[in-house]
Amino acid sequence: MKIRYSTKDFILMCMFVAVGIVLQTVDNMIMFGSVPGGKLGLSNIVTLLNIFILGGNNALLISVMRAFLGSLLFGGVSALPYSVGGAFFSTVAMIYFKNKFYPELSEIGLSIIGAATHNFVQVVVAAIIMSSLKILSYISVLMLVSVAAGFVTGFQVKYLNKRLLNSSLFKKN
Amino acid sequence: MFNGKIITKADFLVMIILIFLSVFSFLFAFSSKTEGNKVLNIYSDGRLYATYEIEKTDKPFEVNVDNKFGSLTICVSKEKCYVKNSDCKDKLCVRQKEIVEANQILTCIPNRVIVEIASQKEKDVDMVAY
Repeated sequence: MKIRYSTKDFILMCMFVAVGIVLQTVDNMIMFGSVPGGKLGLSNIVTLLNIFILGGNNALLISVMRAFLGSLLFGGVSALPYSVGGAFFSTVAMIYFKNKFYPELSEIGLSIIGAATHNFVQVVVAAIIMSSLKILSYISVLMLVSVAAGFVTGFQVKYLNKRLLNSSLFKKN
Repeated sequence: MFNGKIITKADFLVMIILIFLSVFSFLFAFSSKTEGNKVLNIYSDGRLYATYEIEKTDKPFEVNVDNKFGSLTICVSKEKCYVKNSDCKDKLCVRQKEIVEANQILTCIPNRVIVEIASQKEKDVDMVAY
């Protein structure tokens, strides 16, 4: 299989990976609460924007790449399955719901779904790795966290999206 | 900037469903009985590492848990249990609230340690004859 990208798309994707890593760094600094995974998920802004700008497949590639590089930079190899698993499944969920319900379900709803999937997958991965079902009791707290965090990031995507899609940089030619 | 609705009906529905799920799973996770003796179980890398009957301890003491991922120090007393020290990167285990009641857990994901308070039913034995 050979995938060809135009130079512009290629540069844009690299740029989005870089922006995602920066947002992930900021994210690691402002953890709120004491629950594992109680984070704002700012890099989800980049992923959701990419679904609209560059399309689903590219967004999936970008988010997995960002999670891979980001976790190697900060969390170490042990954080890799959590980060990559969460990023992959949350992006897949957001693409699915975007294709099915987009105009009715706005960016805020999509972002909340992405955040909830991300947290859910991370808890399940943790339960598998630590071989204990007790971790699953974190789901109740994390669902509430993901509603709040998803609302915040979705709100930003909603108003960024309108402006970016109209800018000349992202116009399809 | 804020022309039009911010939240659509479908967004609202998603939020309601997730909040409902959260409440439901909370009730499910913490509904088991909390009577009986409280026991502190420490799991390290998926295996039971140590068990303490915390109601019988008079003095607070510290437990060191070492495995191939790292080590952490857990403070155990009658009133509360918490992680005092850990060599993991994110230190989330130290920042978690101390656990008091049954069914509460502390975790250190990088070191693969789980600390839980379970309630042990008192054995219904009338008399033991040797």
